[in-house]
Amino acid sequence: MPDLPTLLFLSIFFPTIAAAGYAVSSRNLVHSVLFLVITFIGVAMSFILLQAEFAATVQILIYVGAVSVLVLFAIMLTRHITGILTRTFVEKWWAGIGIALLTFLFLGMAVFDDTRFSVLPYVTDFVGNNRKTIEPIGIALMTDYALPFETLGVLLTVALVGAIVLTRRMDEKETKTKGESK
Amino acid sequence: MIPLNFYLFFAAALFSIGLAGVLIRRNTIAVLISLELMFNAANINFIAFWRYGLMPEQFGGYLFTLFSIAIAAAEVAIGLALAILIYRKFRNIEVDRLNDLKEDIE
Repeated sequence: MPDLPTLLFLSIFFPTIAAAGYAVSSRNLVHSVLFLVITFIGVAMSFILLQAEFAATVQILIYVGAVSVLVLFAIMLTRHITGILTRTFVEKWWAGIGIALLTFLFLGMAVFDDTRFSVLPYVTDFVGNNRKTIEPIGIALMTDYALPFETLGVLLTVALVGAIVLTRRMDEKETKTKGESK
Repeated sequence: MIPLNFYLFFAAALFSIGLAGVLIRRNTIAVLISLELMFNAANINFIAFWRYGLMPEQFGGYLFTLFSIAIAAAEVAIGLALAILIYRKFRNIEVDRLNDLKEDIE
């Protein structure tokens, strides 16, 4: 009989994997996104099992909150993809499945039978007795990781501005030609 | 206690499902969805190795995960903007039909 953490892990593992499988194989893209949200929540729960509560919160805020809504909007803005499609997969889909299966066999055998991984310690009290994680993370972000943090801010700004510039319609031209034709 | 192998196996399974999705789906947005699965698998590995590693008080893998999540958000914003742009130009976002460059050469 496995102990409680293992049971919790297994109860996260199977639904998450099933949801991920449905997300990549569903013909309806909206269903794909909804099952992707379930997968994200499962990953966040595994973060909580690993005592990374802040990462779980960030995962839910950004992936479940922002990314999935963004993907849904992109689906609604492009036609032809809600509802049933005739051709969802590429013609040589068996090759893709084969490559993925080989990767899975390779990775799975590499991680599952290796005793080096199973003897790594699980440190219970790694930051003193009170197990605070958010405070040292904030301090690390402001001291040792200040430069990557700032760079990330610049990267996010550039990405957002770039996304807006890319998807902006050339309204001036369109209104001009419309006005002239009328 | 859960051994580290379980998390690594979980991440390997998620990564392989995402890889299969990237390889077999025709829709650009579905490919992006599968890419997100692969990102998540990598993040699980980072967090698991941080937690089971030798120096969990230094938060290396943890912070890498936070950075990786933020970069994934930027990537998704740009990727979906490109998908919408391609759709406007070609009326079609199926990956294996976007071969204009190829046909121009022939």
